[in-house]
Amino acid sequence: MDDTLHTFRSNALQWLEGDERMFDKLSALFLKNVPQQMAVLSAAVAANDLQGAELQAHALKGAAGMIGALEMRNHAAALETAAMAGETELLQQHFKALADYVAQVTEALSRT
Amino acid sequence: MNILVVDDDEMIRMVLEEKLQEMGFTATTADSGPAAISLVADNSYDAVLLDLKMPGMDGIETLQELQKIDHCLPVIMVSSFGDIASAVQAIKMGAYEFVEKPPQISRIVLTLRRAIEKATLEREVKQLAKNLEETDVLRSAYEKLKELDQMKTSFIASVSHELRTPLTSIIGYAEIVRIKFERMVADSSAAGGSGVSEATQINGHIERLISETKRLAGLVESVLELAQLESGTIELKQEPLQLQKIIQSSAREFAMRFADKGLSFTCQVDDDLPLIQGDDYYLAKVVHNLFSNALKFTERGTVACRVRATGKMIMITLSDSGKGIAPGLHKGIFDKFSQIGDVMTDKPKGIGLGLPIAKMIVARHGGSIAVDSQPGRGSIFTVMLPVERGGKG
Repeated sequence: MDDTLHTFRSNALQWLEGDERMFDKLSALFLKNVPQQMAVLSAAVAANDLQGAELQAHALKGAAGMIGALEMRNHAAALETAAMAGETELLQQHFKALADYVAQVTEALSRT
Repeated sequence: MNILVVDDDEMIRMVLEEKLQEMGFTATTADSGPAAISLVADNSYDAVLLDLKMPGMDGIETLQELQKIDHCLPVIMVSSFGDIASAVQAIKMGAYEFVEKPPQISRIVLTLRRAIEKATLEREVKQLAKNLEETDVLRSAYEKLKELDQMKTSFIASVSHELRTPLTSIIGYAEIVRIKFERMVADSSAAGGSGVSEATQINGHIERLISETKRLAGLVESVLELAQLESGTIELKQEPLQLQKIIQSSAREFAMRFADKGLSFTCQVDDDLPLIQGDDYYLAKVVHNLFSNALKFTERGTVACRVRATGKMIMITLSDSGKGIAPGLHKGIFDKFSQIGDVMTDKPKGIGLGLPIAKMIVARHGGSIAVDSQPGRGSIFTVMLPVERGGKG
């Protein structure tokens, strides 16, 4: 297990209170749902749909928090805040950073 | 305990549902505010875990709707990272607590238990307050009724007193007029005077005046007596007495009157009746009233009185072959003024106080009175009086 995955796992196991089986189930759900969520978010950002971007970023923030991917959660939160504040010029920027993290997380979780 | 988990996020629903079930709760999930509202409307939950930020109806709106359905339902908000402001707003609106996502399972459980305990106490306190309020309302209504009853009793008593005095005077003066008039007529006829038929007519009027006034005095006496019995202002004696003496005395008095009406009358009293404790004056009144009713309501046939001891009771039965009473009226005849209702259809033969008075006296002796009757087949009145009894008369 690489360091990134180890970090996620140990973060998540704090709130899951050591339930590894639950972490595995959450990872599987995360991997299943994230591509679709990112696609929707990407479309919302491209269309400057602030409300759509906000809701999708919020969902990704929650998912990242649950599997212990704190950096990804912080970027999703920044994107959500930018959308709420109507800062359209920041959306693209945050989305790009978030997409990079999502790729990393997905890769790490896929290797389990 | 039944918990409803409301979150649009499939991951959190899955974790909370499974974890809560592991901890011994029953968990149900809803993926939106409207879904949660319809579940709460149709089911009973002990607490709700409610996501703050959901597409469509958010947590705050959902909270308001849930509170409309069940004001005591504890709701714990599950807020996202960095969403403290909304969580605080929810608390101000009546949410029990908020936990931040991802929520520590043991903290969720602890919060749920506390919330449920608080809601249970709140419901109990509300119920107690409601009971207390109802008790207060009942108590004041009861006090008011007691007061009204007391007022009515003293009113009847004072009115009866006021009525008795002039009635006694009227009867007295009417008697004097009758005597004087008779003398005048006698003197006038001795002197060879005429007008005998007119004198007879006037005499009839005076007789009528006296008998009607006596009847009215009797009614006033009954009303007064009933008022006194009801209010408990008279104390009944508790002396050993022989019931057969009372019965036989009344029987002698009424034998002639039954015979005058062409009725066959028998009275059979067992020799070995035990003594009873009571008030001879009032028990005589019971027997008198029963005999009096039998006389009033029996046009032909028989009236039979039978008195015997049965176990620790003395049973008096009075059977007649009178017109009888419909079963639907059996209970009512022991109510005050029960004959009043017949005024328009059937000429009443009293104002219906004899049986209520009898019932009250018998009850004050620890006994009971009942009737068995069918229209056209006569009536049987049964009085049961205890030989030995506790309590006061």
